[in-house]
Amino acid sequence: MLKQLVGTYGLSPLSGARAATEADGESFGSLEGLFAAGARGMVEAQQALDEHGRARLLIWETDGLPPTVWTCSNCRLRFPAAFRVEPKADASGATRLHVAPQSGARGGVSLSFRYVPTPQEEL
Amino acid sequence: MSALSPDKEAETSGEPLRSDEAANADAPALGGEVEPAVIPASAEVALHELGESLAATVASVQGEMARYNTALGTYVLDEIDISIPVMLRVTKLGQVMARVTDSQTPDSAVGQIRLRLKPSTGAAPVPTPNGAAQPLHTIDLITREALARLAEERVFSVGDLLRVASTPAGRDALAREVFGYDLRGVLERAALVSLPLPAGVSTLLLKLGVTSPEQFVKSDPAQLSDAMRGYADLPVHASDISQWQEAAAAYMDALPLYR
Repeated sequence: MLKQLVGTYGLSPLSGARAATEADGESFGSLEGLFAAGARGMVEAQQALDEHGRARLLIWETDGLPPTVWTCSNCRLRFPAAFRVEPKADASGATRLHVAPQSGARGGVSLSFRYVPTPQEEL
Repeated sequence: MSALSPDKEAETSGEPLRSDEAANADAPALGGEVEPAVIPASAEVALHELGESLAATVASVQGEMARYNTALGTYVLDEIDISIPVMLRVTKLGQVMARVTDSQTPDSAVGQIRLRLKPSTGAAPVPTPNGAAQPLHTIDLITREALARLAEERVFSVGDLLRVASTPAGRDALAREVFGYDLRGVLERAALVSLPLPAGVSTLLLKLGVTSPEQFVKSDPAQLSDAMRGYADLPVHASDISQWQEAAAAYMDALPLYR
């Protein structure tokens, strides 16, 4: 997820001055796109962990090491951010919030996901 | 949401922006001069538009998470929490307008909006009639000048108009600032368009001379279905009309005109 977010939104840690400059420049992305990328990244990370777990199960018999399968049970993305608004121009449009990571910003965003096992898995 | 400034105080910087001005409004204050304490970094929008934007965000996040749906488990959105520094003002129509700012200096004119969304288990989703999203020109009675004035106030849809008109003060302000006459006819048509009816039905009702929800629910279903079939060749039966009338009557309780 981190790789995807960094690639899409340039989420590398910035100094305050550089972050402010960046926020005024081109680093704004839609809030919708950012959060969707976060969710997509987490899903892909979990799919990779599942794949790793399946591989461990397969080689268990040969290497004798008990397999482990990992799950991202909770995931939280939180950072200070500056915002812009792209207003709609008519009834059919949609107002969009744009966001850019900015050190020291008064605003911020937080997004968290939770893994919910199916009931039989809980047993 | 603590800082509300009166309409007049914000007029120099708080004039509603046309869509073609938005790009300029977003331009950063450059030039090496000392930055003002408050930088209006973003266009001004009605407060509820921020909520609508967040709702669209939630929908896209849930769409992405739905991609992971295995027999073992699934992911759910636990919480979205955003905190936005804004300058707020109340317009003459009573709408709360918000302008996002980047100001990092504490300023009494800058407030903070915090929107925190958590899923509520067991809540039944309430369908929202899409008629409220119809553009205002659907109503027909509104002049071009009034439409332009309403757009300046970020009143674009039938739902926006009904929201502003939901209080007596809002209705007075609309009559005084925008229409210049009694707007009951306009609001009745707006209420009719916003009813939970299949797409196109409310527009057809207007064409058939049905101009208010009250008139619609009191109409004879057989006559109305005949008229609709004759006008638009739609396969509408009296039983359909009766069903729509029941749904409309239930919905009318929520309309400010009929409270």
